[in-house]
Amino acid sequence: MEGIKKDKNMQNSFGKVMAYMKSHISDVAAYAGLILCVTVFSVTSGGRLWSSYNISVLLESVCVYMIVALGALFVYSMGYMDISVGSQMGVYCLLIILIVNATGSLILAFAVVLALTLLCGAFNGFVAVWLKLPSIVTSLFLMFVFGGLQMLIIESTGQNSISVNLSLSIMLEPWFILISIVIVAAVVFYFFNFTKLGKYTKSIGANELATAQCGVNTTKWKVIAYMVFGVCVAIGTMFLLARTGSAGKSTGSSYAMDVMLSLILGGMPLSGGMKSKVRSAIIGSFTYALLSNGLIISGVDINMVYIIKAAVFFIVVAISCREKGVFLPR
Amino acid sequence: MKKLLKKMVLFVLAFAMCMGMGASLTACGGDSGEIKIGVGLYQDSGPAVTATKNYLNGLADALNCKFEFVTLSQTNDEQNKTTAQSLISGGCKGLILTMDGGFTASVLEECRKAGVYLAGYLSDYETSYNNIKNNEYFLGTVVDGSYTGYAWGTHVAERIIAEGHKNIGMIKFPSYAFPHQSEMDQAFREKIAEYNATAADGDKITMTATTELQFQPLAESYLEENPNLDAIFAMCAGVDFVYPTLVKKNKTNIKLYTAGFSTDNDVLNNFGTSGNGCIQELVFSNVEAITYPLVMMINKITGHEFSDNPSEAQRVDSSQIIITNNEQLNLVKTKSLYCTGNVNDAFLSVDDVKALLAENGGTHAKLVEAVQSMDIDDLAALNN
Repeated sequence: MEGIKKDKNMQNSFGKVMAYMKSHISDVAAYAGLILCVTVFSVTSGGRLWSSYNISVLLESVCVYMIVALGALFVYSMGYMDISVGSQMGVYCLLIILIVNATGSLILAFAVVLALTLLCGAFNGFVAVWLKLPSIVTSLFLMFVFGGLQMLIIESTGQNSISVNLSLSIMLEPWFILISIVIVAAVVFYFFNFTKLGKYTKSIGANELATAQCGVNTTKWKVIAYMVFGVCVAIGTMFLLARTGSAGKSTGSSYAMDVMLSLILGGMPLSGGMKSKVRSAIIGSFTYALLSNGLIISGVDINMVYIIKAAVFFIVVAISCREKGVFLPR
Repeated sequence: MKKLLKKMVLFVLAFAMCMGMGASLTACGGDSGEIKIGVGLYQDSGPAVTATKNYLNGLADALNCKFEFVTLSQTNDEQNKTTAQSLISGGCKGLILTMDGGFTASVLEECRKAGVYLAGYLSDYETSYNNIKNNEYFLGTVVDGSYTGYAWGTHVAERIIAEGHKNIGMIKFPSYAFPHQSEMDQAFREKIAEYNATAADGDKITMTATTELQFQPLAESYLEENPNLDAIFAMCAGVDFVYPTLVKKNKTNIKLYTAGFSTDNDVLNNFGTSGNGCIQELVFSNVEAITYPLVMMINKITGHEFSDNPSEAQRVDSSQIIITNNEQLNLVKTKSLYCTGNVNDAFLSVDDVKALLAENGGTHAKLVEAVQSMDIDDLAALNN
């Protein structure tokens, strides 16, 4: 009798585990992806993954992804997206360099860029609602505008890339990066989980019509969400610029897709909603940076890195795509 | 349930770290002293890339080196820094990069942190050289031909005069990207002016104002605006940016003297007296020039130094292959490493390179002489 009871208990426990796994498949896939990357690259890199130099390199690259992804969380949780962020960051890097080189003031440069990011955030949020356009269309418009601006600015300088006449090396110190990440993550965590902003953006992602019918001014919160994203873009741009102290025609170009990939790898549903979590940005950024770094230090041909990243991305999306019809962003 | 999952995650992470540390110790223990060098090229394919890889891989065993090849971005500094960081993290003790830019200083800072050395290949490091030439982690660079463009500009002018062309089109890339093409332009004009000073009125040579191509093919309207051209001096890569327009506009009667090279049959079959005879001069740098940064790097990593080691990192010219007739083209097609990709066709054999190392009695002067003794006459002499 006791044996049968034990078997039943084990079956119940196994059933519970399976039920939990099924209902949290995105989270499980995200954690599993990170664990898999850490495990595999720890072995294949011959331990170089854990060298102090590589950890500082990882921190440096994770930092930009994570800060921007934490801001993007508010937009993606609404089921919206912004693909202009890469070209925006490229132009902001150039502007910071030009302003700092002309005035010597980093604060002024940051203030100008912050104002621009807020303006673009407001534009993305408001115009999409006002013209009843999908958010991707307005961000596509901004992407082309900023892409053109980036080319114009760099060609007007007559150089392939321009450098800032100010040392930003303190921003690459591991302690500075860690503190910055922790502060941004803590602020985002608070706003996303304990304020109306987070609740309404998730609610809009879950059911925009129902949210509006509950008396929430969805237009206002959409604009605010995009503006908060803008603040994170401004901060992320500073760290991006600090990496080389220079910017050129393609600076930032890959970040729109990188941030989206980071969020998806972190288990973020592209349809947004209540399943959106801050940890998606954190886990996803680490996984994405680890993938890029780990493959190369493991000796994988750089041409194969893109293919492997695409395969990993496909697998994670395939696992975490729960329902038909709610996968793609609005 | 959540707690269980978290415990599982922590356990696996701890396990992975232990595995990693273990593997690290194993890797250190098993290191046979092989020197890993990262090579960043600005192209990912093509005959130059193939020849460079074959040459270095052919030297690898004899020099106890291993080479990791990556492609650099021509427009994204941050991506280049990330690539350099990954190479360093991957265990490279030295980096040989074909590109210089705003990112070079930050890459050199990474080198300093990790105790890794940087050197250049077929690049004059124009942006950074003056700021980094005294940096102990920068070992110098070998230039794509001559640092200044005067010699080649004068040489082409002499050919144009000898061939009797009278109306010459002048084309180059923007000065911000290729500042030394202005020197070619200047040297060419000076030589022609010298000739015109004594030539009869009907023999004088005229030149158009120099057109700058923004890395786009030559506009068809250029040929309509300059209908009487006999020849074009394309200081830029004319095979890719000028010749296709001449073909398209059926203007292959205009002779093209250009920098650059191609293994494309459409180019090779229309060179000199062959085919339409449009292309009259081709130029390329030898991949064997990478011997300079390679030897400097191995010396530094193995702790050896030339008796005549320069006090600051050098920017060394390399000799180029200048092809002016069909016989030379045939020689290049069949006997140069660039075209055949065969390491046995290299100017420098494995033994030659080993002999250039400081530990084997090599000197800096001999090394410089080696990378400056690879012109078309040297190729002909090597194969006689």
